[in-house]
Amino acid sequence: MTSTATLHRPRRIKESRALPYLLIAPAVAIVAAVVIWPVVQTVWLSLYSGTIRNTGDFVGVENYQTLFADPDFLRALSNTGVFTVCSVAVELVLGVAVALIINRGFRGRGLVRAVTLVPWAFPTAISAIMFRLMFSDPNGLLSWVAYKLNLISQPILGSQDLMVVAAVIVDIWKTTPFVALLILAGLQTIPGDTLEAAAMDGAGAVQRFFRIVLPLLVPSILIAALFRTLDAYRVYELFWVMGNRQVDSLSTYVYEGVRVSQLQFPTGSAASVFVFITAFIIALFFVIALGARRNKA
Amino acid sequence: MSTSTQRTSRATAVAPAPAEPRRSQEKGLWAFRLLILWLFVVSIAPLLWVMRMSLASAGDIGRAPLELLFAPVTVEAWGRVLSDKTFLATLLNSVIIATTTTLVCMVIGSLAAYAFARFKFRGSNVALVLMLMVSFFPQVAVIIPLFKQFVAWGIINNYPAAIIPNIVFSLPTTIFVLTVFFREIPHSLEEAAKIDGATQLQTFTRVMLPLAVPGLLTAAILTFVNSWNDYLFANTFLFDAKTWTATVQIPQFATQYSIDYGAQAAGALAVTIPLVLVVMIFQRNIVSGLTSGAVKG
Amino acid sequence: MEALIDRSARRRPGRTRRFVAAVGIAAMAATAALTGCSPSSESASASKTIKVLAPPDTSGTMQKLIDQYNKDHSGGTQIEWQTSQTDMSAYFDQLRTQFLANSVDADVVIGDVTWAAQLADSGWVEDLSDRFPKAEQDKFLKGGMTADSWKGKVYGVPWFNATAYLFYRKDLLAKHGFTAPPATWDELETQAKAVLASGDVTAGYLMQGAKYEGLVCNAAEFVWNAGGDILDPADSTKAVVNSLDATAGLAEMRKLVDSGIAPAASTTFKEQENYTQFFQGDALFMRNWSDFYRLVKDPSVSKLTADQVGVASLPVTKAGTKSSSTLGGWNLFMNASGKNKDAAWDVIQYFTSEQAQKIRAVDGGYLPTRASLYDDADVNKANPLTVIGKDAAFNARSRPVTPYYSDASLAMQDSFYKIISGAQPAAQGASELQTSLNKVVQAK
Repeated sequence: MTSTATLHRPRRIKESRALPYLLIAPAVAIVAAVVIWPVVQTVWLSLYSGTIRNTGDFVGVENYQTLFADPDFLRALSNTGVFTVCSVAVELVLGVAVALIINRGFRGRGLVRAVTLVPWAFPTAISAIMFRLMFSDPNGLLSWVAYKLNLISQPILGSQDLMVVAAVIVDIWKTTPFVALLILAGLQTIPGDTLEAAAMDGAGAVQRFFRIVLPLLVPSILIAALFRTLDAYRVYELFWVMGNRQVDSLSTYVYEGVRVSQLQFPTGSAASVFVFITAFIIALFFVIALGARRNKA
Repeated sequence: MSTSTQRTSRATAVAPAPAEPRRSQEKGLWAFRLLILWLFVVSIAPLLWVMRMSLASAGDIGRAPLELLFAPVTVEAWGRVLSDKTFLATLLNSVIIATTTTLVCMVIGSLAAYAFARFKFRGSNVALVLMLMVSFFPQVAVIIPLFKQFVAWGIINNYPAAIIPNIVFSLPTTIFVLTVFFREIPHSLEEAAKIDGATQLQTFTRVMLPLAVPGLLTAAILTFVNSWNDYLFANTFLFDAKTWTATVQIPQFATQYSIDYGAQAAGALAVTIPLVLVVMIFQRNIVSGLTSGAVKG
Repeated sequence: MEALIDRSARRRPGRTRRFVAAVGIAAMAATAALTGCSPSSESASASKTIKVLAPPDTSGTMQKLIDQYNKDHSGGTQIEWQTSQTDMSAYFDQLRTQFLANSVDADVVIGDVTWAAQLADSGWVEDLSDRFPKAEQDKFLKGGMTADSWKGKVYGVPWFNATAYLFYRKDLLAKHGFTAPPATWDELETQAKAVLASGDVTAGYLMQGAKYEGLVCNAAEFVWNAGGDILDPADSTKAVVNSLDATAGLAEMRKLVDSGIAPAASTTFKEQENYTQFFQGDALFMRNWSDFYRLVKDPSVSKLTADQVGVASLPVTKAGTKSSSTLGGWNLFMNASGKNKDAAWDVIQYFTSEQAQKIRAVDGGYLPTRASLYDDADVNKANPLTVIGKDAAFNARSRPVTPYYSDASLAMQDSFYKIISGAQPAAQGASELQTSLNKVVQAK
C-alpha cells in the first residue's frame, strides 16, 4: 500500500489544492484589511452616537432616520443622481461616436487615439482646480464663452444647478475617451464580413449602424455603463475641489460628515453605509443585466 | 463579470468601412476630417489653455480670454514652480508612492490572476467577484476606519498610508486584465514546461509571466496613473510636505487670501505632462489591454 | 506546433530569469519603501529645536523673525518652521486629524482666531493661564483674548488682528458730490447707484459671498451692524439669530446683490477676486481685511494710488448703531503633548512681543494685537490703518466661541449662503439657522 506512486499522488493533489489559495492570499488579505474590515467598522459606527473621538451609545437606526430627514443629504443624493445619469448617458453616446471614428483607418490615427487619452491622464483633483478657474465669473474661458453664446445669464459657480452641469461637462470631457476605448474593443470584435454582408444588402450607413452594429455593441456598452455609473456615483474631487464645498455629492457629504464636522459623524457613517450599499445594488443590477444577455445569446 | 474563454483575434478585428459610392464618400471624408479635428481640439484645448495661463503674469490671468490669449508670455510661474524645493520634493513623493504601488500591485495581482485563470478551486468565483466589486467601492466610505487603523499600525503620515489603499483600489483592474491575459495563453505551453519537470510556480514565473508582459505593462500603466492621480488618500492620510504627493501640494501655491493661479497651472502641467507622455508612448498597450479585458468580461 | 513550443520553451529561461529578477527587485524595493522610509522623524525633539507649524507668509516677516531669533540664540534653542496648508479651513481639518492621530510634532501651532475653544476642549493645546497672567493679557486687544479663552482659561496668544473695513474710492465719491463715505447701508446704496449710473465702475459693492468661512465673517457683520447677534452674549449656548434686527441685516446682504449694487457673482467671491477688481479700479466700495490696505502701493496689483482709496468702518443698518467688524487674525497655541514647553513658551512670547509685532506691522502691514502699538509713531507712520482704523480694530468682535466651531461654521455657511444667493428669504434662513446652531452649541 505504500508504493511511491500512492505516496506521491495525494501530496501533489494537496499541493495544488492549497496553491491557488496561497496565490490569492495576499490579494484577499489586503482587500480584507483595507475594505472589508473597515466596512464592518463603518456599519458598526453607524449604529452608535458620538464623535470620531468617542463612540457614544447604541442608537439603532436613529442615525439613518436623521440622515433621510436631512435636506442636505437629499440634495446630495439628487445631485449625485443627476450627475451620474447625465454624464454616463452623454459619455456612452459620445463614446460610441468616438469609437466609430477612431476605429476607421486614417492617417494619424495613432496620434488622435493618443490625444483622446490626454484628458483621462489629467489628474482629476488638478483638473478640478483648473476648470474652476475656467468657470469663474466673468473672465473664466468657459464662462466667457457661455455668456457670449447667451447660454447663461448668471454666474456658473454661483448656482448649484449650474455647478452640477459644469461637473457633468468636465466629467464628459475627462472620461469619454475611456468609454470610447471600451466600446472600441467591442467594435473590433465585430467581424468585418458581417458589416460587408450588411452593406451588400443595400442597408444605408445609419440603418446598418442601428440594425447590426449597435446590437452587437450592447455588451460592451453595458460594461462601459457599469464602470462609468459606479465611478460617477462616487464622484468626489469634482464636487469638493471644483464645487469648492458649495455643492454636495454623496461622497463629499460623507467626507464633510466624518472629517470636517464632529457632530455629524454618526450621520456621516450612516451615509457611508448608504453609499456603498446602493453602489453594490447598482453593480448587481448591471451584472444581472449582463448575465441575462449572455444566457439569451 | 465571468470571463468567457472564446477569443477573437485582435489582429483581424479592424474592419475597414465598406466602400461607398464616390461622391458621398468625398463629402463624408470631409465631414469625417472635421470630426477628427473637433475630437483633437476638444481633447487637448483645456490643457493648452492651462498652458497659456501658466505662461501669463498674475495680473493677466484674471483678464478676459482674448486679452489673456494675446498677453505677453512669461515663464515666471514656471520659475516659481521649478525652483520650489517643496514642490520638487512632493513630486519625488509622487514618484515613490506611485512606483511602489505599481510594483507591489503587479506582484500581488499577477499571483491572484494566475490562480483565477488556471485553477479550479472552491470559492474562486466568490473571490473573483469580491475583487472586482472593490473597483466599484466608494472610497470615502472607509477613510475613517482606515485612518484609525493606520494610526494603530503607526504608518499614518508615512508613504504606506497612501500606498496601501492605492494598491487595493488598483488591484481589481490588475487582476482583471491579467486574468484575461493568462487565460488566453494556450495550455499547451504549460504542459510542455510540466513535461520538462517544472513545478507549478516555475511554470508561472518562466512561462506565464513572460508571455503576459503586454498585460503586465497595461495593468502597470493603469495602476500608475491611478496612484499618481490619487488625491483623497494622500490628502487624508499624509500630513505635510515631507510626505505629500504633488496633487496635494499644487493647491498650496497660494497664501491665505491669494492664490497663485499661474504657479498652480504650471504645477498642474508639470504633473500631467510626464503622464501624458507615458500614455502616448504606451497608447497601444493601454488600448489593447483595456479592450481585451473589457470585452470578454 | 511542436517546434514552436520547443523553441519558445528554450528561448524563455533567459528572459524569465531576468524577469523574475526584476520582480524580485521590485518586491524588495517595495518592502524597503513600506518599512524603511519614515519621513517624519522624531529625532529633532531631543535637541533644542522648537517646531512652529504655520501657513506660508508672503510678507516675509515670519522668516525675518525666525532668522533673528535663531541668530540671537545660536547654540541654543532654534526655531524650525513647518509649513502647513494655506487654506485655513483645510488646515484646520487636517490639524484636527493630525491631533487625533497623535502625530503633531510641532511644539507651537499658529492657527486661526476661531480655533481655540475646539482645540482646548479636545485637550490638544496647553492651558496657558499660569504662564500668561491676567495683567499680561490686559495688554492685548479684548476681542482676541475673548476668542482665545475657553471656560475661564486661556489657550492662545493673539499674534495679529485682521479687521474688516469699507474700502472706498475717495476720488469717485468726490466727483459725484459725496463728501463722506456712507455710514449706513441706505447711504451706501444711494452713493453706489449714482456712481454706477455714470458708468465709472461696474461694481458698486464687493463682498465675500462664496460658501466658506469668509461668508460667515461678512454675514456676521450684517447681523451685528443691524443691532442683532448670533449667539446670546449672556449665554453662549443659546442662538438668537432669529431676531428682527438680525433678519433685517441679513435681508440687507441679499438686497445688495438683488439690486445689482453687488455683482451677481458675489456668491462666488472670496477676498482675492474682490481686491483684484477693486484695485483695478472697477468698484466703488469693497468690504475687505486690513491686510490688503498695503496692496494699494503694489503696482503689480493696483492701478490706484493711495490718494484714491479711503477706508472707513463698515456701514450699519440704522444710524447710531455701533459698527463692528468680525475679528480675524492668527494666534499661537502650544501643543499639549510637546516635550519642550518652556522653550515653546519662550518662542510664543518672542513672536507676540512688542518688538516682533512692530516688525510685522511696519514691514508686513499686519494690525498688532497689543494696544500699545497703536500709539507707536513708527507703526502709525508705516501702517495708517493703526490710526484711521484704530476704532474698528479695537471693536472687532469674535465669531461664536464654541468647542464645535467647525459644525457651527458649517451651519452658518449653509444658511448664510442660502440667504445671499436668494434660495431662502432672510427670515426663513435666520429661523432655520437658529435651530441648527442651537443643536451645535448645545452639542445635540
